[in-house]
Amino acid sequence: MRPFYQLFDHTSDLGVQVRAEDLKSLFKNAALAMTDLVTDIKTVRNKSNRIVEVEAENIELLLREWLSELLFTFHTSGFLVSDVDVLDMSDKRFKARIFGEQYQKKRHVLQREIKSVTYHQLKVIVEEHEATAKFILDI
Amino acid sequence: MSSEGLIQKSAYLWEIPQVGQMRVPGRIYASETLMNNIRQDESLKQVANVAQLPGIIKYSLAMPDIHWGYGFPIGGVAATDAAQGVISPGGVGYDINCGVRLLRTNLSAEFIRSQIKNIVTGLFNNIPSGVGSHGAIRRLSRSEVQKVLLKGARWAIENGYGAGDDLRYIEDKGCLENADPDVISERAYQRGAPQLGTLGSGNHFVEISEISDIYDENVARQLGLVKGNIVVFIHTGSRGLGYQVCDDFIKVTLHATAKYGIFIPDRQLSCAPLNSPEGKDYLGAMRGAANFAFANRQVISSLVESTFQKSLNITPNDLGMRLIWDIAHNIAKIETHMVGGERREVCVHRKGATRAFGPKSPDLPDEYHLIGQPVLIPGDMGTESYLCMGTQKAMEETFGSSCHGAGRVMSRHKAKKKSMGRNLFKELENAGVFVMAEGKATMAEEMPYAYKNVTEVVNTMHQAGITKKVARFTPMGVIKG
Repeated sequence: MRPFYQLFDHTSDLGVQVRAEDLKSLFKNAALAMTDLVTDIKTVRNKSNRIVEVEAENIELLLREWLSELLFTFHTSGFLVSDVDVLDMSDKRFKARIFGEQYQKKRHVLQREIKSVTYHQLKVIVEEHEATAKFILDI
Repeated sequence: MSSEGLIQKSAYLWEIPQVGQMRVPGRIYASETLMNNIRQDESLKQVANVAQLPGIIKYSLAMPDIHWGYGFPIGGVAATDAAQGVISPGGVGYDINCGVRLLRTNLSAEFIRSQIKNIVTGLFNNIPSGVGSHGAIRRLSRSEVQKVLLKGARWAIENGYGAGDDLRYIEDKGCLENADPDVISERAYQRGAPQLGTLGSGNHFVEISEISDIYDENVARQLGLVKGNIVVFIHTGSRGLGYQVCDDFIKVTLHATAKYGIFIPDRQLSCAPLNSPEGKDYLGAMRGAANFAFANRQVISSLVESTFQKSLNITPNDLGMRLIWDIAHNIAKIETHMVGGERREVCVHRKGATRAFGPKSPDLPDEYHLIGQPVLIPGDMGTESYLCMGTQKAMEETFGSSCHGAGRVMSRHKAKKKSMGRNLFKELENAGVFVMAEGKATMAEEMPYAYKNVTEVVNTMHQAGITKKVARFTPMGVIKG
């Protein structure tokens, strides 16, 4: 099985490429990739959940908004995402229940801090059997 | 970008001719060796893209540590006309007022060497990274954050972090005027409240270094720097508050770019006219975030001083820790510069570039009036750092700006791969640098081999006459977030 995300070269920041079978799974995988870049996702348990809802003008901006929202959630409440259940989705609106737990220094080995999800070279491509996304995280 | 159009103007200066949508030519300071590196990523194209911004004056400039960023290249300088030009949040970056401060001490490296693990451990315990955890100081209330946004480093001093005299040695005395806390979002307040006094991750650090070479005895003496003694560098910025301000205002300026009919070649270059409501709001918000960063470095400075005193059980007098200078290297500022023989008000974007004002410039304390502004150029763990001084030539050629560091040459992805199976902490310790790091991947991504040769970068600006070398520092101990 191919990994659900890969890194691509960008000199100063972190380029991330995510794959999935459809758009819903793409958004889910992008969220899990981001968790895995902060700490090993295998160490994040499903202890609680909350609902996240975002809106944007198009699918690329929607993906960026979704990831930014998760980043904001992590930075303000320490919530790490272990799983995502997509509740509702259109090109301009995305609603999901996120599962996970609070960051704990003893349990989760911190890999790096993500400052932001940039707009630079942001791409979402949907094909018949595959959806891919590329985005660059400011580290 | 193909390097075919590139014209070599001198041994250290290259020009991208003005073509297509460019409003001015691009100019890059680099040695031949560094230019070979620069050609390998997208940064030259980004210099040309920045040259398309409305109101840009003279050149889209790049320093020798330039590398591929998002929108602006990192190491880019762009001055826009304050009346007719634009301001771009991407020209400042997410980490608003990311910057460096340098502290001198009376301590010799020889004395410190046996204590280095003790001190670095103390620093690591007392200065939190703030990622997923809280700061060394209590979580601030909203009204307290508002005061930080308005007062900058002065807030820290009024709250017991350092002495009032420190303000004289901070760019803009540690406070940008006309900050507007009301245009900063609630989200930014929420991210900032627990993070004052935190270091952050990525390339942020506190470093203890030995003064290993002095190139200008006279200036070094005036600054209180003695060969063989140690100094401390602090590198951090406005933390989550600044990241959120940038994120919020890229959205605002994306709309403004369309509203004012501005063409931009990259979304991340979104901008707004300086005299528009959107431009004014960003400027007010950015200044507030910059003040948060000045306060953050002031708080951390005070934590560094108390850690040294406790770890070594010495008095403040014996320690002799004093601020040499504090610079911002991600910022936009309204400054007055001579352009074509006339004084003009311009907005200087420095994205990974350091202000480098020459002698007799305003904003310098009396002691620095004749020697110019200190320019702090940190390398990265394991490599040396430099102190240089700004020159009159910088005022004439680069809107008083110079390089800000070594500049990355290897992607984080490649650097991480290269670290596989290696004990980086041990390698650095064998090289004489004791490192403690919170972020485990950060450590691999920030290894010296991911960076250009900082000496080559600093020498380029020295040879080009933009900044003059004063001292070189070799790292002994580092904490990273």
